[in-house]
Amino acid sequence: MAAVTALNESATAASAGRTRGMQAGRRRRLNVFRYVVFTVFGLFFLVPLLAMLRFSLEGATLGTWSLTAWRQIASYQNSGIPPLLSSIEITLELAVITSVVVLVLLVPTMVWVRLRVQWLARTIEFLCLLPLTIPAIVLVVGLGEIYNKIRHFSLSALMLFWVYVILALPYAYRALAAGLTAIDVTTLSEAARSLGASWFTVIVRVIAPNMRAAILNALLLTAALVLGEFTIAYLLLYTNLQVELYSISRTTPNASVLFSASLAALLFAFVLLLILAYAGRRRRGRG
Amino acid sequence: MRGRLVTSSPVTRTQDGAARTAVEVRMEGLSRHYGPVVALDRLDLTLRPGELVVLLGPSGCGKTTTLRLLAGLEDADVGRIFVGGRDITRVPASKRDMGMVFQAYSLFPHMTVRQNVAFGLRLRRVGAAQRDKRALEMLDLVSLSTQADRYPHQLSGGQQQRVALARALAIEPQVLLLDEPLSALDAKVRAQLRDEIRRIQLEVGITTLFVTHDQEEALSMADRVGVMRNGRDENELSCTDPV
Repeated sequence: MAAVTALNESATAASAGRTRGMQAGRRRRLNVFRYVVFTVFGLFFLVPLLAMLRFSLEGATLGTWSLTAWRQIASYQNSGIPPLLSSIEITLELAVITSVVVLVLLVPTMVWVRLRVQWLARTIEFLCLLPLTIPAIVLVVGLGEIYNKIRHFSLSALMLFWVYVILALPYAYRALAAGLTAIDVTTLSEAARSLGASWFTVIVRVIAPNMRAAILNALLLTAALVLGEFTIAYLLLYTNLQVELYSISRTTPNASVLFSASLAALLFAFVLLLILAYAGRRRRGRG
Repeated sequence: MRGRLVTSSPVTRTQDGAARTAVEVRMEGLSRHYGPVVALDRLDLTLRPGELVVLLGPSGCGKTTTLRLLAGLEDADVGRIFVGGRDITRVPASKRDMGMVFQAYSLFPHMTVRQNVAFGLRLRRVGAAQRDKRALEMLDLVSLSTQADRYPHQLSGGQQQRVALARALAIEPQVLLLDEPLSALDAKVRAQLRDEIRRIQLEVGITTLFVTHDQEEALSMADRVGVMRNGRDENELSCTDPV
């Protein structure tokens, strides 16, 4: 009996050892696969960026290095077109305004729909996702008339925020919807209401802080969309960062400025992404 | 239950030591329909000052609807609600002065235990020092003062429900509403917390409505038990002396 037990034990130990060996082998293969994929995709993204950086640092003669193109971001001027710096400024302002308007519009609406008018949820979702299916050029045709009227009151490119809000709706909606499903909105709001909170307090002090990551994602997507938008601004004859970069590419004698400015815009987006990701992680890791 | 007379009014002390009289709660002819479904059918119910009434019944019998109507989280189609003689039928939930503990864990995840308990006081613009003192008193009442700086996700289910109870009581509500607060807990914790809720309710002397589908829970806690079926109070709280 004891011999049988010992035999069983050694067989079990051998089988466990084999399983562990197989698992270790599988893990090693998976790790190699991960590193290969990571390296290939890393190179795919990094090589063009490094090439851009190198080109933006190209000196007057081939193979030399110079910071002139980067210095020219601030001083570059093309007759009839606003300076690059001002277009960066206006694009950043647009990103902030659009993000704020989208959040102020969507967060209370979505919470309200979730709590009080659930039957409207599908309609709201459809309306919010609709801009995704409409090509920018079609939007411009439709909005052209309205923008002709707007132009009577203001020539500022900041007026683009109206259309950017519409463009950002699908992305912000998806991000916020994911955040809303992650929390028990009904119970939290009812608990807050029973403690004496107004609807405003419920949304601002109870719901919004608990969907911080979703709000940050919505902000990031909206900001990224505005920073990269070209078609609508160009067709509606406004100048934002992308339009300015395009006009530089067509007119400048020094193409390096175009690359330094594009790289600067990309770096800005990366920094923004890092800040938002860091802020989100800090909240999750708390406690 | 219509026409029951109030015989006594237990007196409790508020945070400033002032005497506070427990109130009577009266619901008259309350009805609530969800489309063709009748959730509540002309319910009459009176809670005497300071007593703990348990509404018992199967799922869908209307007990939670009764509680939600009393809390103001839903509106009655017909009927009226009086608290301390005042008609509050059309008063919004945020102004009803009722503490509520929910079946689901309802602590605000982004706030510490202390901040959760003090939330209602903050809305009432109570000063920071007093708020903190009161929050700790309440946490002491539920034996959780050592957990004041923890976040809800660091607490067990039973602890979370005790904090929810402390939070509901911190605002010194006129009425305490408990919506199956023990149903998500395991048997041992449930029995413990059941006794604790009853102890605290007697200590505070607050008029309380407790909703459950657990008979044992109902009979071990209640001053009176109301058995509900099909949106009506079947025995009209005749079981006045529970086992």
